[in-house]
Amino acid sequence: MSAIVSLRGVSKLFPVQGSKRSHRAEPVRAVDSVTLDIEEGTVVGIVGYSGAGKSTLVRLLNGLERPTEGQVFVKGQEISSLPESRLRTVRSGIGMIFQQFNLLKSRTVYGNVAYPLKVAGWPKDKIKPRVDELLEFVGIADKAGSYPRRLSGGQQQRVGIARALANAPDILLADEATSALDPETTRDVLRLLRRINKELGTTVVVITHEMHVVREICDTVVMMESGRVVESGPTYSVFADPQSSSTQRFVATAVHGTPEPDTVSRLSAAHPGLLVSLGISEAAPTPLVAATFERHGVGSSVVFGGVTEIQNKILGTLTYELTGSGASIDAALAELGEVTAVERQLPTAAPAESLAPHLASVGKEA
Amino acid sequence: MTDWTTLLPVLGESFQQTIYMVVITVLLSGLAGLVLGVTLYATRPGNLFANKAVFSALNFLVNIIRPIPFIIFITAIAPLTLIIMGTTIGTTAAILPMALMAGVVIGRVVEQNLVASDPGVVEAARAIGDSRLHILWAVVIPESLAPLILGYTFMIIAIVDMSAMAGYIGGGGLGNFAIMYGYQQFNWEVTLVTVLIIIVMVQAAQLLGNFLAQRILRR
Repeated sequence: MSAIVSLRGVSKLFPVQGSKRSHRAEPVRAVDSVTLDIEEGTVVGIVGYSGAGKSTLVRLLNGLERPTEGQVFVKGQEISSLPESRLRTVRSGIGMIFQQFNLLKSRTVYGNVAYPLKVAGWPKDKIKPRVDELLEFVGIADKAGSYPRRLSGGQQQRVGIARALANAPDILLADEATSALDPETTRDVLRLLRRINKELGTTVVVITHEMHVVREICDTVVMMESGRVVESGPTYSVFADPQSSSTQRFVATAVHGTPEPDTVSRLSAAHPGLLVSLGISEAAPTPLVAATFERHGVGSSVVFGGVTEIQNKILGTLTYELTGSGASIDAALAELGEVTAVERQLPTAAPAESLAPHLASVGKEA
Repeated sequence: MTDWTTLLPVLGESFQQTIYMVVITVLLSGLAGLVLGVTLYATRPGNLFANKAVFSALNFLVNIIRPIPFIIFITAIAPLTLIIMGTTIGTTAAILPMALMAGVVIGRVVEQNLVASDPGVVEAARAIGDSRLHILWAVVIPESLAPLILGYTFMIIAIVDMSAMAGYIGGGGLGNFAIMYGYQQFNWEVTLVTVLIIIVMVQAAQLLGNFLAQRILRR
């Protein structure tokens, strides 16, 4: 595999708007010294909070923004210094879809999908079969004559995808493409993106703040914070072993299973044994955990947790209630500690009481 | 009693003059205003042809001309009218100040409607690889067509209003008719009839504009 897109020390600065007299009005570094390779044929997720610079980063890839520093290579060609007319050729080889779909409301579904073909100079008699083929592929062949306003969000995004695929691009950029859709429609659209990647071999770059989107379709993840790449790697490794604190917070939104303190209090009231949370992963799958406990003569039952699959590999956290002698439990946990995260859950002082006086005082002030 | 047998042919002629002034002015100012408005929109900071110098210059020009009361504007540019039209009196001479003022106002109306349009669609068009000039023509204007039609309807009515004022300085038309045969001869009946004709014209323009805009919005 080789890199289809490469960024070398790319920064993008925006001048600060307004407050002309302020001497400290330094430009904002939306993207800050990013070096990155996107492998051909993969699905890459660029993740971060809003304002992390991911939307600017993706616009550098098709020349909608020009870098202030550094170089952007697309299919081996340095695009950051190309004139606008040459950039247009590059752009027609890169599809893009948007959070708000950005369809032309003055044209029908057919007109929207035909538009990039007309721009690229397709002969008239080739346009209709191509549009029909694209609408068939995204599953809205029956809507060709409708105007976008008449379609649901999911249908509009399918039109957006058909339009983006019109010129058979090697790269598809998806800027928060599912953020305006309901969960079920999101899943359908993600499946479609996956299919595009598998069947057409298109490299897909997904910009998102939703970790479950990454979990569903991405091969690799790039984590951004304040314009910088703070972490990147194969999706499973990033999920199983997040390094930066913001990545850990993001992963926690998509991989549940670690009990909150008040959950621990309730669990320990119901379960007299020792409560221990274990990270479940490729390195420590559930059969291995069960076998370890059995070998040490420790009784175990799952009382809380969740496991999911990422890139067809198991990942999650399970909380066990352990019974048996202290020594054998210690020995079992020491052995498991070699391969996975082990956390003994001890109930904290009842949180309900500490909350009550605070609420009462708030009531008085009001 | 009003002698309608002698007045009616004069009224008919005045009506024709008004229609002539309005139609020619709408055509000239409509086209000039579209070019001015699209240029203002496109050269705005952050837009397709962002150009601070051009934008500031045009913006300044519009802001200078627009606040001048039209009746003063007609007399103020009379020397220019004389050079271009060869006369400052009559229906044809009235068209120049009308077209200039209306063109500037239409420019602003067009700009405001385009600025309110969705920038995401322009970005999508750029991402597709379309040229900036073609985007203005094939995306920006069609996407704002309904509000543009309503804006133009508003301006056609304003031009009817202008034509009545042009009558005051010898431009002819219904305004001239109402003043000469109504106001100056204390004939309230003539004034009323003229007003009714103007109301019918304005209503017809508004109905047509609403109908067209509604058809586009229903998509």
